[in-house]
Amino acid sequence: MKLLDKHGALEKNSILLLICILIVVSIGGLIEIAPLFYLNSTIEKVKGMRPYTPLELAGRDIYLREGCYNCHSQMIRSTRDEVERYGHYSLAAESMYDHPFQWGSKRTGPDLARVGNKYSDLWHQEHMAAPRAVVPQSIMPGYPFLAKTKLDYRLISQNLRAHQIVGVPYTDEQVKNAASDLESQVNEDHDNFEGFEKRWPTVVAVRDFDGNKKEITELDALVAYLQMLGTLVDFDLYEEDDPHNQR
Amino acid sequence: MSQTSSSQPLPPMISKTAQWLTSLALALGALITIYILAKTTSTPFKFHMIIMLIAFLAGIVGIMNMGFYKKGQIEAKPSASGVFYNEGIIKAGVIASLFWGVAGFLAGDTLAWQLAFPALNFDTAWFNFGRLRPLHTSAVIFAFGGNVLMVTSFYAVQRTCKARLAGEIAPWFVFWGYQLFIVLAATGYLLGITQSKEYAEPEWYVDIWLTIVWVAYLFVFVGTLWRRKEPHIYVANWFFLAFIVTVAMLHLINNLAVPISFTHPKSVIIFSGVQDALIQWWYAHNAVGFFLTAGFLGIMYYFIPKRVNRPVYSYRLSIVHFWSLIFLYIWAGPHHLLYTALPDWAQTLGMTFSIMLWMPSWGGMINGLMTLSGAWDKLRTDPVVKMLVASVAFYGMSTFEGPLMAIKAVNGLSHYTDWTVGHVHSGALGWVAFVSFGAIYCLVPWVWGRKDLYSLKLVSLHFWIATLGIILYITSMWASGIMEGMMWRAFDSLGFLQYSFVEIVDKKFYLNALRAVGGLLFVIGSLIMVYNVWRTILGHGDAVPIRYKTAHSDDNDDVADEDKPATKLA
Amino acid sequence: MNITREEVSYFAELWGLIFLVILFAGTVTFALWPKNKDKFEEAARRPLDDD
Repeated sequence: MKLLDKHGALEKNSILLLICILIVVSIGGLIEIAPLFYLNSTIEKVKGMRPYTPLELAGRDIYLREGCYNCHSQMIRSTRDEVERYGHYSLAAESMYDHPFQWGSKRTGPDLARVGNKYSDLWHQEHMAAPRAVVPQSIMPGYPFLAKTKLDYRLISQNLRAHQIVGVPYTDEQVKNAASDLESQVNEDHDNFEGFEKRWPTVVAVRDFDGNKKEITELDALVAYLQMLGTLVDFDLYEEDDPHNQR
Repeated sequence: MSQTSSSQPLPPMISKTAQWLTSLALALGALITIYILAKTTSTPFKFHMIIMLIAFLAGIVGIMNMGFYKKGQIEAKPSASGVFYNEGIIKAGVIASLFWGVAGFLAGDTLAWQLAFPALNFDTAWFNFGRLRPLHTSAVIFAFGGNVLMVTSFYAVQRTCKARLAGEIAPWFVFWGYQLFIVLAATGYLLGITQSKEYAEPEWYVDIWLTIVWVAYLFVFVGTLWRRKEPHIYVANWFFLAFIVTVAMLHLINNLAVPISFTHPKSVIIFSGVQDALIQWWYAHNAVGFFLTAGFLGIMYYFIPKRVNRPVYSYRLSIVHFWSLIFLYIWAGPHHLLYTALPDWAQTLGMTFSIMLWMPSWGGMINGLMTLSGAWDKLRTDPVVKMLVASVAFYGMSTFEGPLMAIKAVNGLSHYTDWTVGHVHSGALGWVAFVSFGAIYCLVPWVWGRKDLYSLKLVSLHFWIATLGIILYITSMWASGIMEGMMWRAFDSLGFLQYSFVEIVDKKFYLNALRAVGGLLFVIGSLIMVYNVWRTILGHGDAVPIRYKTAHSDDNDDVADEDKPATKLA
Repeated sequence: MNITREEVSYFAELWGLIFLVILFAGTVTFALWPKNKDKFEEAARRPLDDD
């Protein structure tokens, strides 16, 4: 009997320790993280943000797959030199549809938050194939295989659907027609092009992105993504001194 | 010895029911993989399902085979006090730690050379920096570090509780399940399967698998605590427990995702943008705090006292150390997001707690170092002690540097630069790897029943080569990080930016190359360790086999013998 | 929910501090409690036990 009593006390100690640890470690996280979801001022109100088109989303997935975030940030900090070098500092609103975020932690290469429209498609094509042919001192790996690999977009609809589930405001139409919308963005002559324009009224970049009209490659998608980065918000209209945008 | 149990000491039996139930669960897992295999359109996913299928089937064979030839009895020898410690799992864990350690260091040094000579990416998909880097980080943190933590926690919890590890199948399930997780994660990165969250790259199905393994780990650990004889739990186990519990919490929340299809590896993280950023760095910083710090402090609190044969300097300090460390660490994540789009109040909170964190960190360091008081001579005579003490010193250094870098003004310069990389490696190589090496050097003769290591001189050689490597690594990264930070923000007299980005990249070439040399030295050191451990297991040199399986036989002369090789060295 | 950033920082600063102080005081008390002394000394020697 005595042994049994003692056993109870033993278990109490370890369970008590476990519970105390859980309490101590959850409080910090709760206080820090939870308000971000409830505070109205966490994300600025801006004009121009829209979810990624199916092609851009496919390009973003290639960006993730190749681990670009290991060397490139997408977060311009609010310091003078960064604003000078890369453009307006990044707003929280600009990554509101990024699941997951791509702010990065290291700049082995430059920040890409506003790389969109800074270089031509041709520049990107040549740079991806052989970075040092374009920038001699660059230490970026070459990605010649992207232009040779056909884009696999068989599951693009499911991909948009999953984004819809987690809160990205894709319409059901956009989800349903994702594959043909993806094809339309590289080909104005696509049968479905009018439907694409209707579903994506604010998309201006419609062209063949990889210099190869015959097929849709991974490079098409990646360049489409890079060329829209940081181009959505119109900073002529953004008032940074507005109290609603002070955080 | 007085505690020998009243009944005849017999090795534990393996439960037939448990064997069948676990096999059944694995068979169910195998069925799921077959179903996915038939349905999926993704080739890498098929490859992973085949690996999982083979692993599950091998698991069934392995489990059903346990105790098969001995009528359900486990093979184990009793210790001096009659406890049947589970030492097979310790041996397996030591070997796995060494294997993944070398693999992870090699991957890291490959990356270092790639940064100096980009042609080494060979324009391939699977060998480029972007895919190899997660392989390196996962291999060193989760494969090497994880195996070290499992093996040391399993060893320490058994000895401090004077009880055999809970469960017979469960510890092996944890061990092999964890290796499966590593293989899936590592091959996944090379094939392009990643969710792109740093240090949490594996996709949903691997995350689920890891969750199952981790819960089993928690049960084995806590189950062993329940078998202890004294009510008080030794403080090293507090650290191990906090590591296991908190990592579980972090893993579950940070990886919440919606798979795009049950038969496809890709998933979509449920958080986005600023919230996702904060959750990610809350996760990643506490991976440092609880995986790479709390867990390894558990090692410090067991192995240093054990090795120098002295109780920890202040047990009371260790208690205060524990609670203040786990309380403060959990807040520090936002220091990775200073000057970003994260709201200011969260940035301030992160910075404040990071600076406060300096205090418990140094409390712990002092406690570890002062444990040697009165035995400082061991620093000269025992290279294993030298390694352990150096690790604590590096811990002190990087936990001083960390709060410094969390100050907004400093972070403005250091963030995104190589300085961060240098900081991480002073902690990872100096603290985590050195304390792991020290623990492994202790464990090998203890569990394989050898009088000592094959050669303490080789330990000394390992120590110096690795230390030189670390110094080259962190100094070149300081230089390169501070240089690029200054150059990024340099303006000329007309108020224009003085340097283009790529000019600065170009200037880092020699420092990048130097870092790669430092890394290479570290790899060479680890190979020396593998050789030394291998010869110890074979029983060569000073590694004379002793009669008892356990660390020290009940023969008192052995204690004196322990010092012999050390004096030889001096 | 409509909470402002002032409310959040007030809440975090005040209650965070109170929680920190209570926790720290509790820990130190537990560590220094005279009755625990023997228990801790015994525990500290536990790793040294050769078995």
